[in-house]
Amino acid sequence: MATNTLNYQYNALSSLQNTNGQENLLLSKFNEVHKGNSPCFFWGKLNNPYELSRCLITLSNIVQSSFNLSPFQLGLLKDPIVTAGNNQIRFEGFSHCAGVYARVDVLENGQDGEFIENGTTNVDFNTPLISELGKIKKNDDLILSVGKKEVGFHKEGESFIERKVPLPTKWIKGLTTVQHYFSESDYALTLSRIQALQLFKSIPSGKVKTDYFLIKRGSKYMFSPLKAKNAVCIGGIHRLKLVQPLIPLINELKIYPQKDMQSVTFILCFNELNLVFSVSRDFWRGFSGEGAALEALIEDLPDSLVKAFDNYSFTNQEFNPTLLSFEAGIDISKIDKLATKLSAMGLLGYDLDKNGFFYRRLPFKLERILSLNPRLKGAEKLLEENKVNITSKKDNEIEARVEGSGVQHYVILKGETQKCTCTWFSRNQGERGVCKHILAVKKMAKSL
Amino acid sequence: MLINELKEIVKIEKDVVSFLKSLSLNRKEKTAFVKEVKELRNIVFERKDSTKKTKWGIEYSSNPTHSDQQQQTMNLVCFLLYNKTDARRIFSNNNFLISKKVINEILPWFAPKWYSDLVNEANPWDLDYDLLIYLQEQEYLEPSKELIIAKLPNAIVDSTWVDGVHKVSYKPEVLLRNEVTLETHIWYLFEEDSGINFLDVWIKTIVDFTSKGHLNRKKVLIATIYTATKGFNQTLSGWFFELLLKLNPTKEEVLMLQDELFSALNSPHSKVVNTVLKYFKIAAIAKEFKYIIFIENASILLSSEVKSVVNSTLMILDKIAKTHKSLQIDICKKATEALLNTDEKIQVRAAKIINKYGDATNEELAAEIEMYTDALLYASKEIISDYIHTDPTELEDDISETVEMEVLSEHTRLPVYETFDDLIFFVSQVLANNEMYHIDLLLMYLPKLNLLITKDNASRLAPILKRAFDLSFSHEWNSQIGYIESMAALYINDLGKEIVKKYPTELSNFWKYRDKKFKEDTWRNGSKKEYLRRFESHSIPYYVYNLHRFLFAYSLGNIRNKRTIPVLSTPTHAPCWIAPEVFLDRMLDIQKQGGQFNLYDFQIGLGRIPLTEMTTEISRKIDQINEKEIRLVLRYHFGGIDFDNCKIIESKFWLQSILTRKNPANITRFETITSTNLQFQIAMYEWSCKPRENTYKVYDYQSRKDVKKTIIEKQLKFNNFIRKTHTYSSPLEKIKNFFNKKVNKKAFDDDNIYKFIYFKREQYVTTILAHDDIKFLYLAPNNPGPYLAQIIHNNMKESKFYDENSKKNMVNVLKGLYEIWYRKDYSETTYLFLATGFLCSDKVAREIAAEIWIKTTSEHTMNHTLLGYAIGKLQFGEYAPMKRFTDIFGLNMFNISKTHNLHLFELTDAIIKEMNDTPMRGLKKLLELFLELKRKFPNIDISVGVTQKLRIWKTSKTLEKVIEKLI
Repeated sequence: MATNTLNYQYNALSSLQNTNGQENLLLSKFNEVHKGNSPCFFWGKLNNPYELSRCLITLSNIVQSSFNLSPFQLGLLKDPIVTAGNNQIRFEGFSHCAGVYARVDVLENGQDGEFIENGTTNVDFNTPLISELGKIKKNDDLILSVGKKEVGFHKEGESFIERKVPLPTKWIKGLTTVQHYFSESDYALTLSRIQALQLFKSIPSGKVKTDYFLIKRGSKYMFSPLKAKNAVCIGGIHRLKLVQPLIPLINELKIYPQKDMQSVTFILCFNELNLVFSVSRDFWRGFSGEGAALEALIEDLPDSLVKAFDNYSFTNQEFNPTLLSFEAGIDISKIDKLATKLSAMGLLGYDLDKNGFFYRRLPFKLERILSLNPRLKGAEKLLEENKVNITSKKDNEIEARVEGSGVQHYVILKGETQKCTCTWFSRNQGERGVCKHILAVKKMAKSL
Repeated sequence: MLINELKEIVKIEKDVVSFLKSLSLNRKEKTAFVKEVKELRNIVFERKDSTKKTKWGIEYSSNPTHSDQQQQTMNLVCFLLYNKTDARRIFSNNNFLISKKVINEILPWFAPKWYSDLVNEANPWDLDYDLLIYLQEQEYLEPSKELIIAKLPNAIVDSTWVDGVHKVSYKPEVLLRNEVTLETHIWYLFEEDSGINFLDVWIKTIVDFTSKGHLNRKKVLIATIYTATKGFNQTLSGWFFELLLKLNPTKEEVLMLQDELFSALNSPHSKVVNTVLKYFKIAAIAKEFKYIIFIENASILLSSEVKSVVNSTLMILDKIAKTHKSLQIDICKKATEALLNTDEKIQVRAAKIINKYGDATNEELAAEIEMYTDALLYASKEIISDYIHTDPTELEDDISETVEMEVLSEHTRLPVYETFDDLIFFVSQVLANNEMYHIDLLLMYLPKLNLLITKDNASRLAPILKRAFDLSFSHEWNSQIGYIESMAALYINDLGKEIVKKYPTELSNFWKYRDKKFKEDTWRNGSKKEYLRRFESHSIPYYVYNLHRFLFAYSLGNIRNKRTIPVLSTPTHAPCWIAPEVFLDRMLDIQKQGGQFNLYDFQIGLGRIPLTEMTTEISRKIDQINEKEIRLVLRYHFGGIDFDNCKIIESKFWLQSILTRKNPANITRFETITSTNLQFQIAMYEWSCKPRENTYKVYDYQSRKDVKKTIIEKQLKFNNFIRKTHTYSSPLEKIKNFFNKKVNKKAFDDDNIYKFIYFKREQYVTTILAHDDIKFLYLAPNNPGPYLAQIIHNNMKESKFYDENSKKNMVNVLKGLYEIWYRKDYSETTYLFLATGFLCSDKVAREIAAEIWIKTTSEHTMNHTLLGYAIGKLQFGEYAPMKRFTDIFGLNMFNISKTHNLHLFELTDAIIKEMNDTPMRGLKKLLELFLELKRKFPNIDISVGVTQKLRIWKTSKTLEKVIEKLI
């Protein structure tokens, strides 16, 4: 597994302190990519402290959880990411295995404070802080500070807390891929709190290897191990237990399956607060291994476009391709698959509730993110080594031979259909994104 | 030359310390010397491999070339000269850094800068807490938190071996030797997982130290409570809360530590939550108790899956309501949340709180209760009946009215492949086992593909041939496929051999790849030989795989003869069904091509046609078949002719039709005419479940030998089980029979697919791979009994599973059964198998069994009385805890629809009728659920047999009340 080391450097530990009857939650921040100068992104009151603190505890449990890694890997905590801007605050994180994603969205009316600067940052989540969060009560006054507001408390630039963690590329890759899955997910149903409680009670105990399906029996919803027509499919259902403690507190539960059932997303709705929780197709398969966004990545986008996008966008801003093309003076046709490419680059998140992308730049160096897709790299290598040979190209049909290990693969692209004789395609039939051979043929066909 | 001096010291094993002390090197000299030392060290630590011939074969060994003393000397030199990186490489996996020599003779005059860091990193096994403290006192070591956590837990016990006896002594005084232990180190144990829970003596130690004042009691209490939110596992969390119980906080302390205790309620472990609630129960009536916060937290507690947590929460809410009248309505609203629980006692407790403190005129409260009416059980509903103004939502009944079983639907129709491209992409995914029916389709489509291969397109087959080749010779385990896929790979290999001969240039890449692999595999030297063997000569892991082998071989015959004679058993509809018209068309096609059908293919194919009555179309097609007896068989198969009017010549043609139609009179006539007994083929066995004595060999540690031990086990057994029907005749016997003409020509001569449906227990749990098991079931979907009987006999004698594989097989077969179940008249064995599914130890399997019941009830294809009989009879012998069934009953099967409830009543009645007069444990819950159903259908009577049984059970005090309500 390709591993980079991420060196978290925080000026102070995140903490929750009570001063004058007010709970002050300081989330210490760190960003590899510095954009802006303010030490603080947000400072202000949170209107729903009890539910929010429980959501943050759950988020912390999620980033600490793993469903297919060893205990050693489990011990290395990855910090969640906070995005503040456009009157919204989002906390997002991934399980170690990159198969469970969660994002806590504090909605516009959920806070009453000052967005000193827009941005996305890692925030320190330490165990004492999580312990303290458990003490937050319904009527407490909770002040959140993303980054320390009062400079001078510590010397600028000096780091007090340093934590080195191996950052598996799959973690970042998962963060980017999941956004694409969101954009392909459709609303399926809304459950009341009582229905959701009944549903979650039907999660079987222990680690479950069989797929489960969400079905309605009589008047109640439940999970069943048998495939039912059009039922939402959930692999590794035991992962849902991570959010089970929150269900008694929700107003309603919305469910969004991805169009090919490659992931399922649950939105736990509270007052002015949502927790978006998404699980990959299987507990042993993280989002990172999926090739959902690969096809968009073969589009060659000019750097100027990406740069323009980065310049014209502000955090949590809704992504509007038409506006962008107008403002940056770029042909709209080039922006066709831009959203997918940008989300795969870690520049966009997806809001299922609003059904649209929003700008947020992951706090990791861009080169980390761009070097992540082995299948894409594989495709480019095939092209570089002249291993792709298009044997026939008619209006809507392309046939090609691509050199594989030992044998030549046969690729056919016909309208919407695209097939290859390689093992990856044979096993997955395109459900997990296309193989490198198809990618290479498509890329070559574009340049013809 | 220093190095020569050192070499001499090493050689004569002289003490090196004085040499080391005398060293005075500048940077350049040191670098040069280190280089030489490294080389010398390599020599000193070199090992020599040797081989020795013994009577067991060649024995390999590896021995050091230098003595321990010489190696020790080199290590000391390295300790002095090496930098951190080099030192880490050689000292991180041993105890050298804390050896006596280093500590006593080197560290007093020289401690490398990296010493402390490396000791922390290496966590040497021999470093105990005493030594750690000594090194810290001497300022050689600044121990990290991790190192302290690793060493402190064992500090209070001394573990030694004296004369071969392991002695452990308790020495808590070690904690008092240095202030730092109790001031700092001990608190780390509350912060991280230290494995402290493996030493129970720590609880006593902490309690003692607290009572003697060595540790601050408040600090200990807070630290203990905070462990709840440190992400510890269940055992460790439970251990700390056991400590809390032993510390036994007073009511005042509980009130003082409320905030900490409230945060502990976020723990995922029930022991933690239960302990906190135990203390809150004591504190709840005190003025200082933060009851508002408790009410806020109650929602999470009331939705807990642990009954005791919900019960305790309700008790505390009751207490708060009693003392705080203004909060009574709020508490009642909160208590409604417990009404979702399916446990009657919990619902009743919540209902009583509402009844006691609520106000029936309060609209908000009534509205809140209204939301739960669908989930209310009769007893709780009666208590809060004043609040309920509307009837619960009438259960939709349309499921049972409208759903009709349609086996051959558009939805299940399988794709048909015609073009070369379609076929090549289909064949290339078969080995991935994407669908259960792919192998069946392959048998039909590979011969078809074979005829379409030309010089132009042959190369496109290379990836498929390579994959088949790789699968045959790879040693990697692939959980997604079964052995049948491996057979398919061998079968594709045979096609590969043919076409490579024909198109060597086009497939040269594959050929080269194949040769390369053979060369790489020379040490085994078997691959090439294996590859060259024909499919038919490869062995199979067990007998039950024979049918698939025959089918593959039959299809290969088509390939070799370059023809496309249809395979009769290829499904047309998922998962394994064949449309009758298509089956007949295939028969006619074979007839047209002048071919002969394969008997097993015919039997499997015929058995895969869902029970269908004669139509004009079917009749027309049958008329075109030349062979008279086959025509008769098919007419009978589709109900177009009375069996009594049929003349049987070849019994093997009739068998599947007899078994599909399941007409008892026809079966008897068939058995009479053919002088055969179809018991094995119908899987008609007597069975019972009772305690049985089994004798096993177990190892006795005292006498150090195997001894026989008799254990009484409650087991399900077929009383007259036929293990297998078939024995091969020797060639001599065959010749004798031929000349003696002893064989009754009409007799059912064992030439039938069922003779292969046989396996042994050890083969089921090890040899038969998941994914293959469903394929065996799909060989005879109209008559799954014989296969299921084998599983019951081998795997379900007890309700628990031998291993993970057999559990997985059970789940798979139940899933398969769900897919094919379409008729009510399956044999008792099939119902018995389903009953074992309901009672087995795997919850997923139980849920699937429930799903089968739900689906078949909707489709009117379930014999509830027979299923109830099987479950009841199994439970007569206490096959499994009753809770397994009642949990599934309550959570999955109850309140699906009115029809389902009605049949659930019928099922429960049938279960109870068969049960033992002595009530088994867990029966009360079943009777409570039966009572709920009875109340839903007051006009339906309980059967006479059950009424009698209930009267007998009434003498049991636990059952008395519920039975009184039932009769």
